[in-house]
Amino acid sequence: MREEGELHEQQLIERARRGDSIAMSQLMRDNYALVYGYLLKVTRDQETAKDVTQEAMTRALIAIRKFRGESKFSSWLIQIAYHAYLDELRKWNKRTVHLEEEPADKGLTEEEVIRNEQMNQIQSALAEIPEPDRSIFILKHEQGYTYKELAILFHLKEGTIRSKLHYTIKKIQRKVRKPDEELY
Amino acid sequence: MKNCTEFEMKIMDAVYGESEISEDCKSHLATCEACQSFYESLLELPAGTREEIAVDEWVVGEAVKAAMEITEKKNAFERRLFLLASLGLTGLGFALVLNGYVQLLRNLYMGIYLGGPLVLPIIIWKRQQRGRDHA
Repeated sequence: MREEGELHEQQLIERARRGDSIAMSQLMRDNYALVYGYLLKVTRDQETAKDVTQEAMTRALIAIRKFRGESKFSSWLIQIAYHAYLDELRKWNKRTVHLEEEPADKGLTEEEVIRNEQMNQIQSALAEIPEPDRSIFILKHEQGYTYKELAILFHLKEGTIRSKLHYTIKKIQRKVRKPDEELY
Repeated sequence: MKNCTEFEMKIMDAVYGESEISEDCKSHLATCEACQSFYESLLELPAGTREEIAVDEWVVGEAVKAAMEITEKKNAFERRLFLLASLGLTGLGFALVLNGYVQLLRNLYMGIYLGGPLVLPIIIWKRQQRGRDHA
């Protein structure tokens, strides 16, 4: 008999549709890092990211019968997570995200400090970018989604995805200072 | 003649592996400093730390529990609604027979049997539309 973890995603989906809680848990466990990782990037707050992950997973499991396999299950889940995140934003009635305290650079090499500095600059630049542009950049640059997948996910044309991505990159590039561009 | 924005978008496509970099783009890149700078800084843009994310069993467990509770509540409501509707229709049928409206009841059933299938394509189409929105 095969282990639960080895079951194919499609089988897990079928079982989850029939109300099998073990299959539901396994399916969500398999996609946890993806959903939580994405939400952590957009919210920049661990607790909020966990809350929205839970909400997104609940919504996905309730609606799993409606998943018809036209897109990848992970993309479908990210789409639900994106909408759950937007709802959360509306609930808080704020357009900017809470910035989490960055850890101190103690004990890091010079290279790591520079990288952290760059990451912070990117995060601050991203915080100023509206949705869905921010999510489009994160999913493309960090998760490697294709234009086609993003177009399906955000109900936009591929050309629009490209323009939005270009706009976001330009905005980030203006914000991110290279180490050798340091002002003296 | 193409402007830098168009070339930057082509460079972006190539960096993200969406397409190969074209010859005209290559020759433009060799002469345009602004596009070179765009290309280099896009390559240098860090993709973030890809740290291992541990599954939070509590989050997964609560999500499954909440989903099962909501689904069960929804199912229970639908069962009750179905039962009530069935009892109501049966009661109506009996009431019509007892009051001498057998002819009306027969016409009603005929209407449902004949008209019902005509509504089915609309129901299926609507469901598909809803499913497409969720997919």
